[in-house]
Amino acid sequence: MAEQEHEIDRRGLFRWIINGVVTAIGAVVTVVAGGAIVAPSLKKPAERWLPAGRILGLQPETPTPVTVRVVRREGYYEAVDHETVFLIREPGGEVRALSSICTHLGCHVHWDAKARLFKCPCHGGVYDINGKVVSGPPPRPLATYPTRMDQNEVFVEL
Amino acid sequence: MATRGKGVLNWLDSRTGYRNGLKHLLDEPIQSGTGWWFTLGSILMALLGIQFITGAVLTMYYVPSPAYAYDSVKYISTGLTFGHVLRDLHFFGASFIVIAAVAHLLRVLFFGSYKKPREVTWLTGVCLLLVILGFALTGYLLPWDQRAYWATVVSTNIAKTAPLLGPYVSALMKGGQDVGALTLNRWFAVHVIILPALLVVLAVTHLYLMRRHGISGPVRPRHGKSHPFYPDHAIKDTLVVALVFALLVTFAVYGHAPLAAKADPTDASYIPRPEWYFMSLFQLLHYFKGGLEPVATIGIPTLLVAVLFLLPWLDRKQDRDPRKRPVVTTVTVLVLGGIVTLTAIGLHETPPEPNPDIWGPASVAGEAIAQSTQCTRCHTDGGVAAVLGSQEIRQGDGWIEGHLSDPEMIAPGLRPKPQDALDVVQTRAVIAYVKKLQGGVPPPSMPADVRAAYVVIGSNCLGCHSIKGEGTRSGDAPDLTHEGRTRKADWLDQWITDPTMIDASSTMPAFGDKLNAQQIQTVANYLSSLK
Repeated sequence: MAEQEHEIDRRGLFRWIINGVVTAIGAVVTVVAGGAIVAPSLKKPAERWLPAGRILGLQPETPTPVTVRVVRREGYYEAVDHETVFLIREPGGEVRALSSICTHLGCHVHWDAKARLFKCPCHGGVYDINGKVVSGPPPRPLATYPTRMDQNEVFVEL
Repeated sequence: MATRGKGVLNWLDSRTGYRNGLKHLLDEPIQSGTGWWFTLGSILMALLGIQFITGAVLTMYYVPSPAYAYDSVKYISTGLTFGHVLRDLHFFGASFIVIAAVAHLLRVLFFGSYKKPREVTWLTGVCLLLVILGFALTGYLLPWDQRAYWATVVSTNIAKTAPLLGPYVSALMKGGQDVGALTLNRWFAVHVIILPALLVVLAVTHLYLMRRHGISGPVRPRHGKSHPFYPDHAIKDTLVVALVFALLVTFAVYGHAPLAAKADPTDASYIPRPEWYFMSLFQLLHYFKGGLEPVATIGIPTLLVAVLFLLPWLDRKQDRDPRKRPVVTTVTVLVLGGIVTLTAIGLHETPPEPNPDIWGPASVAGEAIAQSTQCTRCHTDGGVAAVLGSQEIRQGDGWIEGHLSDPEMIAPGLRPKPQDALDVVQTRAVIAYVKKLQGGVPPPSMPADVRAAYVVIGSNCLGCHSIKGEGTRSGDAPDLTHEGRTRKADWLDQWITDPTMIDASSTMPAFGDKLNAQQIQTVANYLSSLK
């Protein structure tokens, strides 16, 4: 009887060790493999101040479309995008940057100089010079990007 | 909560019967006396599982294209969180698997476990070994570095030496006539789709047959009642797997899976070196030359595999004791001894990997040539060409080679072919020098006598010899990296001056009339100092 109990103790210990080892190996593999899978998605996007042109070329209170070259490091790959933003020189001299992407479904808006409105060619979204929705389906105003000036050069943070 | 969990499991069991299945798996009766040697299969299973997981994650980042393969592997190793450990687990795991598979095979051989009724289990096992070697071969190419590229050039050329179908098999392996983009793509497909599928089918069959016939157990059956697999034998498996896993993680964390320079098909100076598990085959080639080459490349490996496949029918007696099967035991020991010896000789004789950050004799000699009047006639301050090293050099090897050996080819009418044109060895030296400049490696400071020896060696010897990972070996010319271990300075001096004075049959040219006595002495002294 005592021998049988001893046998049960021994097997219980074996089970405990087996479970422990399997869990430990599983944990190490999960951390390494899981970490490598998740890590790039957790990376915060780097702050990118990109040159967008000279202030002297901007007409006051007239949105001017400029194409900004955006270089993104995607792991082993260097992706180059070109994004269009509208620069608007305020009467006070500061410069605002508006996204050209319609907040409805992502089409590119254009500036209608006669009507002094941004118009989206896809579904008729209309915005005013400050990016506020005037009519149509867009749910939000056009996105505004931070800008700063450095010796007449305009920088936009994308 | 616990009862609800149990309820779900009860429901699952009522629909699938998984508890009985699990019980059937875990309660396998294991004969008394089944010892630690019977844990090798479990080690393999665990290691293969780790390869599957790490391989799947590596595939998320790897690109099988010559344009990005190298960059993506470099990113995994240096840019990705845990990427270094991930790649090293996969890299060293491959070596662990080859060792475990061979150990498992030897255990089955010595214990006579392949005998009736386990012949088919044995056959699936031999197939699994071939699949594992297939994984090793195809995986080696994927990083697309110099090691990968040149080892694959050699292995596909080996396939070419097979009689009749050789050239077709080689072209099929390469997806064309050269190792290139299509080769990389198909080897990747074989590595991540075809071989894993084969492995799963074969491994499941192997395990099923193992259960069907039971574990063969000790050579002489022992008396005593059998025990269930779980936990009595499983504890042995677990402890051994834990040990192997700890060792693998240590290698992965502290080791470095190599990544040489990016594959460069135009760099003829690279010395191909296989991974250690193919080293014995590679070394065998040194002993079978010319028409006999297929004996080493195809004949001996095919014979070995054929004998393995036929073994259960070649050795049909029921007795499993290795002492009562002297032929099998002796042949196994001899073959194993042969493989180990060939591997050891191969590892000893293979020159070390060139370190891209170290200036070897070729690059130092190239620098000396670049600073001589041959080059500075034009490459001078205010001259027709820029001072070498003053600006980035973008031209490739082929351009530089043409520029040095035949300027007409590059720029017709610019300048005539110089009287003192460079020979092949000197041209390669200059290319090696330009590579260092392109790589931004600063010139080294070294003792004057070493530099002098480097200049002579780099511009004279590296057409036939290799040293410290530079140069090309041709014919019987040995690697000189450890020349001082076997030769003294006096002997070397005499040998370089005129080899036929020592060995009338030597094919090495005499340098007594090409180099002066001091140059020869410098080289002899330097080489004899290399231990």
